[in-house]
Amino acid sequence: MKNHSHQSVVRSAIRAAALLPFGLALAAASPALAQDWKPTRPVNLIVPSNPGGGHDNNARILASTMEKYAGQPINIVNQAAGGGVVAYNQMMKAKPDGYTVGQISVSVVSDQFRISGVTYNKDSYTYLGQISSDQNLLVVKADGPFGKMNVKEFVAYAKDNPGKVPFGVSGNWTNHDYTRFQIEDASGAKFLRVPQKGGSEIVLSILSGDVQAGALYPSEVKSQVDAGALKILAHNGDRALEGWPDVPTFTSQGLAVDLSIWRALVLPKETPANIVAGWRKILEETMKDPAVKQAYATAGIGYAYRNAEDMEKLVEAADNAYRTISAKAGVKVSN
Amino acid sequence: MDFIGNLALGFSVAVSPTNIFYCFVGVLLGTLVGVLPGIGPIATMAMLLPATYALEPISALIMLAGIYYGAQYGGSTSAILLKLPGESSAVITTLDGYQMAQKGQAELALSLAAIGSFIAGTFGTLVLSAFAPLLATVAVKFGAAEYFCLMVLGLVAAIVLSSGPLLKALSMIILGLLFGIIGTDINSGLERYTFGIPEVSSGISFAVVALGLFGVSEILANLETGEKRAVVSKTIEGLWPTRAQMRQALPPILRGSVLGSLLGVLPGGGVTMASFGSYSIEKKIAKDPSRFGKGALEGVAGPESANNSAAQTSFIPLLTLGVPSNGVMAMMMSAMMLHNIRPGPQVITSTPELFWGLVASMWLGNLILVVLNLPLIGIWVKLLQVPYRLLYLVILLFCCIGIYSIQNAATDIYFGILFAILGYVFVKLRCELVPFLLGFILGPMLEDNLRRAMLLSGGDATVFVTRPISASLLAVVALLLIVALLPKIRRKREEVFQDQEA
Repeated sequence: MKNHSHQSVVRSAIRAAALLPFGLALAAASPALAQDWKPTRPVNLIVPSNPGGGHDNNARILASTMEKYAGQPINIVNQAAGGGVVAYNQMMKAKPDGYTVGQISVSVVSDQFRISGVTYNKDSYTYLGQISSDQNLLVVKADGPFGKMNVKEFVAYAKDNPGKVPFGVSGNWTNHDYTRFQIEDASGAKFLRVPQKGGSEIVLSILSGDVQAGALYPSEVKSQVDAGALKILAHNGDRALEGWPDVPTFTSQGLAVDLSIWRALVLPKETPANIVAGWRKILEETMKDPAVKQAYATAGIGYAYRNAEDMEKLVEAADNAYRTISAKAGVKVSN
Repeated sequence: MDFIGNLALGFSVAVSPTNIFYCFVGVLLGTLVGVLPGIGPIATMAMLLPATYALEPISALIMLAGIYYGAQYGGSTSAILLKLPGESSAVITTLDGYQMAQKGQAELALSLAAIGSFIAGTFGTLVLSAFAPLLATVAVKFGAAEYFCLMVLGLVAAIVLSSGPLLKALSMIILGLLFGIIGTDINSGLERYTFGIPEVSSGISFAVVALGLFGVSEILANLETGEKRAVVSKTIEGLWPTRAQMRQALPPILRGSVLGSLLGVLPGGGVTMASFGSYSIEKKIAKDPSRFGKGALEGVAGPESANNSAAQTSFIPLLTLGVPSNGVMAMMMSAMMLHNIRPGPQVITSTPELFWGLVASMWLGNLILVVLNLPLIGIWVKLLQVPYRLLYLVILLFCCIGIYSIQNAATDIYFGILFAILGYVFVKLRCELVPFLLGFILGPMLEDNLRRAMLLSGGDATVFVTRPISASLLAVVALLLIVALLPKIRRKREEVFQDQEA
């Protein structure tokens, strides 16, 4: 009881503070802007993961700022069932009235190549814009056999000793696994592929010496890298890595490992144009708010924003890239 | 190592009025969600996370941690009174705790759980403050081979120490293992026994199985006997254990505390293994093992202590390695990162007041739990005096809400019903449910680690005996099997069984 009232006091205080700049902006807005569609009741944001972890964190940070531009509370609906499949189906089939927004990741285009019965693809949604980007890092144990090598020496070793270097990937044909394949494809190396449950399991496996390397997200390894236990050999992003500007990209080392990993917000396909336009504006305002950038940096989420038009190009390119690699790697749809 | 100085720093942070307040809020909320079946600490923490933005980081973490170990504690209440294990670590408590409640010792069982948890919590806090960095090195010594042997030990112990016939226990474990197979195979990515239902492609959740198998099937069984149950469960003994009972309970509490703080350090399954391991040990060394399963107080005191100290030390991988060992710890990690604290080896050195403050608050939280719950016990026990025809409706409702809330999927409720029917059949066939659940929990980990160990060794099975830790674990397994198969002991087991039949 006590806590509940306390919580609502805190929440309403936060909300009041958050609405202040909104009110000012509204007062200064032109008549045309005032006609933009905005939600008039609370909105659900479907997130394809459980509470805790990168996806959920991203949504909660975004929602806390987006609430002030949307003018309504945004409820996070965690829907982790089926590794995201259920959530993506729900986003596709939701009532197109602007009150159900979905948060997707690049798996929305890659799932069709690996999971049977998946009916969604790049054309199933209306895109609002990109909300973040992530990199896959090639990580090894700092005081292990590869801790002194650079990425070229490492892949050369794995090429000379095929199947001898255990490489941890989380799940089967996740973006980590695709990255592992791209490294092999670009260098001729052949790893011993070790699928594991998730990033934290792989970090422990590298520390215990079970596996020698892994493809991991920055947020999963930061503390161990900062403590000097793990070392990053390269990453697959297209610009310097936040916090570790000296870590090279694969492409700068002559290795074509460049699959992009991102998250975006979407609406159901049939949503009316005025609602779509309203949400695109809300997202743009949110992403340009310095508070989001700052909160991302704190939580270790890679800040990146593309508007709807550029996002559609990114999705198109990702669809092509995953299609090509899946064919090359012989990825089979499960059943 | 300035052990005393560190703790003093921690307490100076933890006893500030604000932090005590948030600690209280955390454990109170935790107790409530723990008592309600199925509504777990993860969802509660997620809901409260936005509210913690406005707090100091240390206050936020103290409150969230309180929710976690408060829930561990609250879980035992529903396990004892209603045979509803809200958390996997409370499964074991249903065995003797529920029987004690049936014998009219509900208050005693609850107070033993509270006292045991407090002693274990104190022990866990001491371990955490004295050995955190050291224990972290143990966690990274466990590779796939070691985990596999640990799981084998758990399953063999489950067979050897179960009370019924060996064959039944073995069958139940295997059935549990089979249900654990459902989901996506991690190595090939192929789905097994999912029948194309996306909601089970990552497996059936523990809570669905536990609430169906234990909770709902118990309701079915109770409805058969009418209102008899409510009469039986009237309290006939007082709240406080007598001196003799305390003397009986103290050794299990201490053994449970030690075992729990060791196993809690291991990522995955540690807390559950702790409560189960403690039960196995107590039953093994008891003069009269046949009392177990019929309301032996050691069977409540030991496991409840073990899971509590394990809950404390499960913070070690997060705070010292930056690796969350379960869903709750992943939530804690998110909370820390939102406050610009990156969990990992540098937490102790860069923000000592945060680390030691959190550690000290856990001890305070355990104290608050005891103070809070001893008076509440009377109220909880009153629950049993609610006419069963009303009570069971509420339990069913909460089971459904709990099952649904795991992944917001109605499909899970249908599976819950399926497991309820299955559980009812098992009870009618006099098959024990705990081996089933252990097979279900440990099976997927057993398989993952076996396959990974074999993959890494290139198919060479000697890896399990050439690595010292896994070899020692296997030696214990062999010892257990020998003990179980010795004719004399087997005869004794059979006698016990005949007693039960009679």
